[in-house]
Amino acid sequence: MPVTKPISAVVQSAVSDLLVELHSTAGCEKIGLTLDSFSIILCDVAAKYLPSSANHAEARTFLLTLRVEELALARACAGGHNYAWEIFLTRYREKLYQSALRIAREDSAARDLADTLYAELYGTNTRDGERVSKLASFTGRGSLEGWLRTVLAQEFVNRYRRTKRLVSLDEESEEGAQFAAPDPEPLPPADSRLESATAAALAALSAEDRTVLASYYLDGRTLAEVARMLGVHESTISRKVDKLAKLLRKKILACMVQQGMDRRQAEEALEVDVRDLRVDIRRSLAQESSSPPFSKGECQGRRPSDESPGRFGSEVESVKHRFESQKPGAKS
Amino acid sequence: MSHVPKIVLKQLHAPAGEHLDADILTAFAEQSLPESERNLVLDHLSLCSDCREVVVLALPVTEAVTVAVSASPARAGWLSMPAFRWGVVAAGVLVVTSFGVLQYRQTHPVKEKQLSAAVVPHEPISSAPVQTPAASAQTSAAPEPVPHAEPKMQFDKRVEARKQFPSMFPQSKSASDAGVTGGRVLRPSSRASGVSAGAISGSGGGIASSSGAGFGTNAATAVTVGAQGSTPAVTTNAPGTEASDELAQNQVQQSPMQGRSMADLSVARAKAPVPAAAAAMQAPSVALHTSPSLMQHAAPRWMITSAGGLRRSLDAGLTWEDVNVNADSIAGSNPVFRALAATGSEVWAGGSNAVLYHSLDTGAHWTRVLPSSSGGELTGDITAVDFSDLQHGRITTSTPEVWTTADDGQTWQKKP
Repeated sequence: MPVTKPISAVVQSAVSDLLVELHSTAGCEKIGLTLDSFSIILCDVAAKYLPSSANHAEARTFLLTLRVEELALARACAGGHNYAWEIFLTRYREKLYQSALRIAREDSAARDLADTLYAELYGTNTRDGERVSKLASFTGRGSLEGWLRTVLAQEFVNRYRRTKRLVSLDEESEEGAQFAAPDPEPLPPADSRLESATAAALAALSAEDRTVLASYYLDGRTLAEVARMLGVHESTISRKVDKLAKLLRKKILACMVQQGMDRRQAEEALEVDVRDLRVDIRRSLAQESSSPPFSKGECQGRRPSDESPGRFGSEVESVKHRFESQKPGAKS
Repeated sequence: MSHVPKIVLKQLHAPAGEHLDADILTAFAEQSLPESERNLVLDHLSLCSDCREVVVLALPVTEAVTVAVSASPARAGWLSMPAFRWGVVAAGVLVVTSFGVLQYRQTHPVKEKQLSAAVVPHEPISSAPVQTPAASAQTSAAPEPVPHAEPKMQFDKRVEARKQFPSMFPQSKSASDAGVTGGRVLRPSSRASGVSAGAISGSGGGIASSSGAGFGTNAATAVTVGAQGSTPAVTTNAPGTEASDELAQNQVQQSPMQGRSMADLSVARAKAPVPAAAAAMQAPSVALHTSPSLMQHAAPRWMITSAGGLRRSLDAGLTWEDVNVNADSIAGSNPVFRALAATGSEVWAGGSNAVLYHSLDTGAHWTRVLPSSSGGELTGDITAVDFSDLQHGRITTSTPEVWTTADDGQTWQKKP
């Protein structure tokens, strides 16, 4: 774990205050973590997440919310302590595979996923001749079990996302999408006033509301999934989505009217876009994401485009073709 | 679901910066981030579909699934008994019909008087043949008061009801015929309680299914199964005796209107934003839990609005008033409540972000309670609050944790 920020005196003092207590609650003795090494770990974690303006009380609260027991276990494993590994494996081996199966939904992919993660946990990567275990980056903000699931999910998204989102030709023809009519007319270029009105309306929403909208409309998540993601009840989300959709419409219209469009014109500008809503989702999902993969280097070599053609190759190619042949028509 | 203009989607789809690390995402999914950090995460999530996907993929297995699994054997157990099976069918018909009658009555207010005598025993919650004192209280309103011994009175009453709704009592038709001819047939009490148990479980089932419908559509099927599965199991645990006594007691004080509002209350509660598992447990328990408070005349009733606010009714459900939990103790936003337990004048209300309020005087004054034990303090959202009596209570959170108290909330223990 490289230290990203210099460790402030506040953090130092908070850590030394709580060190003995946390050291014993975490059961560091048994897994070979000394007070000193545990103190370094705690300082690292605190320095990583605490804003530099944090005062002593905040640092204390932060340290007390850490899952120190799991943090100590993970770091001891990363350090290669045998007994720690024993505990880790008894607790998480089974869960890890089950989580992988739930994420990948298919046995061989799940095994592959779990095995890759195991290798990373043991530390196959070497940095300056030393093995670096992925467990060394666990910081105890959440549970270790949840962290393992998240890491699996990240790996899965890195690897399979691009292939998963593409539909095979067979499926497409089953759905009848093959015979879908081409765009009846080219889209009018989006009105700049509409653009700015939308941006303003979206910016006025809270981050949570925007996340709800994106999950529901862009990702096509179910209400139940969105609800669980945010830790609220499904009916809350259902109401919220409805309310947000109406609110957005109203706000955008109001904003455009304010900018000098008349009401009817504004509604028309908005309506044009509603009509081809589905087309746009399809197109925007087919675009390559510009964001980097979750763990650099490691996964670069495993992008599906580089994967041997045996598994996904031919399918990917044909589907890609389809999208490419569609795109120019849609754009012109 | 309403449409969102395309341009909105386009702008939502803007590329995000660096991905969040696994620790933060995990803590976010487990609801253990402080507000400021949570907002930062949401900011990123609103822009980054990769991270949203990771969060969804990494969600733990739902609790609802385990509920459904554990409920299924119990369900098979009692459904295999033919008596119960028919009891449920009969009760289902009864509930549906009584709703129909209610509708009818609302549209035909003129005929209300004639019907009311027959309708009274068939209100949704106080559904029919649980009679005893209720019947005697209501017979005075009936067209032909019968000055006989009490058992007889009940019986006549029931026969009358049957004449009005023969289809509701397919299994006891011959018995009712005997009653019509004037024979003084004293039914064995076991039979009566059997029927009433059927009615109770039926009404419970009615609530559960309506709340299931309330939960919505999509992936909630497992949830609905859980709710329906566990409801009958709970009701069968309280057969005839205690439960029907309590319900009968309730009836004493309930005019038809009140009966209805109580049904509304429990349905509303089951719909209130609590996770499915908690709701499944609540649906059957509401009627029993609030009953002690209903025994006192004009004891307050409580409900949670869909927005998470508290409401109180001091006139047995005719009018409701919002109750504010002196929000000055926490600056800014009002707490959002998800669960409620009332025992006499004591009220416990719990909700999002570990808010837990306690009132000793039916909601006039509130104090915030922060359960903590040596293992830390309560975090996450409170999804269920249960107090079996004034001293013993139990809180379930979304984390999920279970906290118990044995001294009216003075000290708390966290169950592993």
